[in-house]
Amino acid sequence: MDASYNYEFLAHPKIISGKCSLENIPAELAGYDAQKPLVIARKSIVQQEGITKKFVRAFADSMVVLGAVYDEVENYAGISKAREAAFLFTERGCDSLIALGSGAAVDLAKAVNVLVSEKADNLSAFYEGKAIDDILKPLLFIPAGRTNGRESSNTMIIDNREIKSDFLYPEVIVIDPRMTSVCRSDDVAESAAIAFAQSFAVFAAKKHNPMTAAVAHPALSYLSQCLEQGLKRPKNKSTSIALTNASVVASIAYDNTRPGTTNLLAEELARATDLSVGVVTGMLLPSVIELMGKKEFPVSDELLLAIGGLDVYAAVAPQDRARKGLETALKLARVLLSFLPASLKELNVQKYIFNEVARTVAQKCDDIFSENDFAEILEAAWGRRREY
Amino acid sequence: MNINKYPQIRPGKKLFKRVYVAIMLWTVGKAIQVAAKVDKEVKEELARLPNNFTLRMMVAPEKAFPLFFYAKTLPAFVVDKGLLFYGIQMLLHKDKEGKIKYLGADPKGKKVDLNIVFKNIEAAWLVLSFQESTATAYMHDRFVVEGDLVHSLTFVRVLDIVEVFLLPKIIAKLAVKRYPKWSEMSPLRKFVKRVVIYIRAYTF
Amino acid sequence: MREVIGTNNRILEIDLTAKKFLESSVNTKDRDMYWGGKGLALKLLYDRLEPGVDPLGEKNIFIIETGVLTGTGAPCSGRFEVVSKSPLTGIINCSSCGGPFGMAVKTSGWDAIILTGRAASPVYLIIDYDGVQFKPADTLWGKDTAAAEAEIIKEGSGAMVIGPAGENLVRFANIRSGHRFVGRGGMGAVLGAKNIKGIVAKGKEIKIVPANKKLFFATNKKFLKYINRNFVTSGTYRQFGTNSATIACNTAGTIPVRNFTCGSHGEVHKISGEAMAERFKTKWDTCRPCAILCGHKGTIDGKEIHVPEYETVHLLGSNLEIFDSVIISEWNELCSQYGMDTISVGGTLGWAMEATEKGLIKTNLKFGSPDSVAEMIENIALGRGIGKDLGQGSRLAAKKYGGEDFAMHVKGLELPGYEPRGAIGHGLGYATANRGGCHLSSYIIAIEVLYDMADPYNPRWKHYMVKFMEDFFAALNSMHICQFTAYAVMFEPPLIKMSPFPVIKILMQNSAPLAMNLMDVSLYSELWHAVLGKTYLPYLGMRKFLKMGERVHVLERHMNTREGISKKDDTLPLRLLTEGRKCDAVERTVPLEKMLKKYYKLRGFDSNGVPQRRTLKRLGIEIKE
Repeated sequence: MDASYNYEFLAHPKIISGKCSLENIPAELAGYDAQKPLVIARKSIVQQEGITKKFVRAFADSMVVLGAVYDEVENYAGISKAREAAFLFTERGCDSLIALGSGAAVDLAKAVNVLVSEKADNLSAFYEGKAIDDILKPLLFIPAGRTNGRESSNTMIIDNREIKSDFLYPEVIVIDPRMTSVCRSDDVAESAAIAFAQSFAVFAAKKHNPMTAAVAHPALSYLSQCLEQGLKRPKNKSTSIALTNASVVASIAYDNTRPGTTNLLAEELARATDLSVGVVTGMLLPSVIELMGKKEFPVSDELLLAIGGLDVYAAVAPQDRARKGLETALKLARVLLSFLPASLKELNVQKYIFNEVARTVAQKCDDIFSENDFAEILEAAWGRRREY
Repeated sequence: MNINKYPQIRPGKKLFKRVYVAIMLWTVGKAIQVAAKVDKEVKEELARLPNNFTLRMMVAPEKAFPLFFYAKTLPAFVVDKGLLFYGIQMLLHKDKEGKIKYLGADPKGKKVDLNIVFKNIEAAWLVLSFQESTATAYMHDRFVVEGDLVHSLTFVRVLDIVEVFLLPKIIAKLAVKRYPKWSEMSPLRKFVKRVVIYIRAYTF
Repeated sequence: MREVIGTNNRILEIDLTAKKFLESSVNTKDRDMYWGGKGLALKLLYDRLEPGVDPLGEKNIFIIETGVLTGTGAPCSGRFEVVSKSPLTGIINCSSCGGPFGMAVKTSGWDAIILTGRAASPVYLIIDYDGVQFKPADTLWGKDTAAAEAEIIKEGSGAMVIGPAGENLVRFANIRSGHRFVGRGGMGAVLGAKNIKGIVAKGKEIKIVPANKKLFFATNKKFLKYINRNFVTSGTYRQFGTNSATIACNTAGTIPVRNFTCGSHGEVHKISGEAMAERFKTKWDTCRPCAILCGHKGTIDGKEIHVPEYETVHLLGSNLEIFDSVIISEWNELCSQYGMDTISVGGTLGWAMEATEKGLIKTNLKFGSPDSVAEMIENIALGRGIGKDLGQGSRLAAKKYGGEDFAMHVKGLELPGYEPRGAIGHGLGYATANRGGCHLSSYIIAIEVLYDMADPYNPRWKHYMVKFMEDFFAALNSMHICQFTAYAVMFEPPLIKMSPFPVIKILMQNSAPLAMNLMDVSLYSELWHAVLGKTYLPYLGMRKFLKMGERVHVLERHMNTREGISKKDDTLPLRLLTEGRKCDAVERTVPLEKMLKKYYKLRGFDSNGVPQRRTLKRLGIEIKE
């Protein structure tokens, strides 16, 4: 194990996971002296039959009153909606926020939180570098549906811009099987791809932060154990809760590590093509891992331990573990790929943007990969054939 | 923006679970009171508690809607101003002489030394309908303990023994940490005590 | 002068990199299937353009195509089509223009010009019967459109030029030809990227003679009669231009106000066509040849000024909450000088104003205040400051600065001046239009609002209307003839003219296929057959014409799907789908999903919006892997 002991690690959110965890929300809110949350929900989640009913029922027999369920957000969180929701928040006299559903709902909730706590009308000051320097209203996050991998972190992506502050962490993450099982196979595949890329980024360096690795380890184990079944049966409660756990802890680990190659590349490509980050991540992962294998990239031995398990790890000679780790990771990434479009070509991604994307990522990334490598990864992901 | 599009939601009540939990808490309270008199093991366990000690087991929130009252029919100011009755709870008191007494469900004017709080009605339901044993529930953070943890463990042990007395083996096995073997508790003692406890708990 | 019977059938292929050219001819099969204009240009592009090339790169191909009717003297036929991959949308863009360049190309003896590669330094091209000459344009580079055109027009009879915006690769730069423009989709930037300042065609070298003169002139006469009888083509448009629709649209709540937050405004009468006609004392200034005469110019303070079109008035006017016709006309002139599409400029400025209001960007722009708009238009054209980002179009600007929910574009192309929440069929038209937010693809608002034939809030049969009109307009653009003639041709033939209006309205609402097919549009087909001397069969000729339109539309869609377009792009801005308007009594949004599903089924697309193989096969479109 190669770990450095000079590190920083912050994992703020409290995670409550398991059966009946939604019912814990009133008690958690009481801990913050709050009893009237504004719920910001993702439209596709609340539109599913019975979800709102189940959610509201979890608050029965408590003193909590739901200020409103604002469900006008789907994939894009913008200031217009944030202002609307903030108006609703103050008008109803709410004192806390619950984000129901992953992705834009959480970003919007964070933005609303900043608007109401800092009593601002817009976020222009924060774009220009003003820091969020005070404790905000408590924000609870209930993962459901497709994730963007940044919900449990200190980042909010509002209007395509990132604002970071440690006060932006959600206070509590409530993972309940009733909510996590509300998704389709492609949602699972995309969320899992992001979780995989995030936890993979942690182990991609030989010397890594031991705490981050400790957090990313279960994420990879959950993925390797439950991914196949989770993709086949997305509504299965036990696998869906495991995969959601994986994506939550992976994003916490990723938050404490430097940006990974796959993630950066995927984000940039998704921005240029309007595809979802999850799909692009899933498609790029095998290419990145293949290139790492080709270059004999010294990844951490723990990668093999996390994905393969103790038995496999012990059976491989120490000098082979990095290579074998990449091999197992590639195998897992291929499982994912079988539920996503096979290549960027299949999605008709326009090739001329590759150079621009590679250049931008090369500027952002301090890895040993060069611009040419990025271009090679994109090419490989473009021309890949489906393996049957 | 039209805020009426997003109405305020006042969640309802789970009436059946509330009634069930209330009855169970009453039964357990009464049964412990009786068992402390009739069973040596329980008596020994309870002897560890200090005298003049009050224990409360309750379901959060402390102030809740009355049992048979539908929440939505209450005027809003009742909730807003906190003009509410106490929620479901059970109080046990050990007096100066070491006698255990069930004090009912009204904590008004009583000093509580140990508070065992189920975080929500669902948690209480899981435990009291024997879907989760007390130990598992504690592991799952279903309840919080305010007070001396040692005393609460004593109470949990007493609870386990009383459950063995009260419930048939098939159910009690789910509810307790470890069901006692024949050598630890003879069937004769178990059946006799079960009858005695039920009769005394429900008669006086 | 040479006489050509029918059409030239000659294509001029110019390789800019090597400064060479090559003559080829139109394939008979292609002519039969795609007729000319937009259709044939698309086919030529389909054969040559690889998917995934950079629109502003060397590999992009730029095609100018005239129609069979161009040069014959048929009414409103002095048009040409420009087809290329758009830098604004990243997909295929077809743009039509009524400037004199089309006529000049045709009478220089060419049907189409194909530009490939990129010139090493700025040049302008002179086209004549024998080919092309490359002339350095160093002195022209940087000049505004009017000055540059005045300079190069000396060498021929028709020219098209780009302005500084095109040179600076502003993604919605347009091309000027006379006082008309190849407006939408940033075709000017494509030319700018190819280092071409302008193209001038000698013209007047040949005379086009219809093969079947008797039929041609008889049809022509009937055509003119219809145009002169129709109340739009001979009345409102002729008197007040396209802007005559303002009052009707305001009443129906379909004009964009304050970046599409509202559909009507109390002050709109100040910028209506009628008000402008009075204020500017307008006279005609149109394409040639034209029988409708919708273009107008006028004078204000002794200065001659072009009267802006409906779209310009509303995107630069009501959309920015400006209701001063003089200011709008001045901005219109400014955009023309720099060579920028007024619709996209207006849409982008609307976004910028709202983004400023919401703190996403910092500019001096403000709704209702004309103060820094002219300066911002200049900044956009010259790529200064934030103008550089705005010059990338509202889609890319919103990607960078946020505010995607109120960036009013479809597939990157800014929405024109009709608010779909007041006419949902038109909304479906925006979503499905091949080049993006385009009103000319189907123009259902004419049926919903202007002619009041269908309930604008009822989604029933809207998918059929959109499909029919798309096919029809694609066919028109392949003739190539002005789309406004459709008013006359659709509504003036005896059958529909004699039917009582309530009957047509009921039919249109409840059985649109029947009502739409009552419209006899065989005139166009007759004209085409007459020019080429082909045998015209009465009913079948019209079906052939509509099927050709369908083929052209589906081919364009097929080409777009190769560039990554699918159902995810056939959508409307979030504002139109999720926000109700405060000015409406009942808050409405566009029920797009429902209509789209039926539309795909009718079109023969799969659920992801991609044309199915059997659809392509039925239409005879060859599939390339």
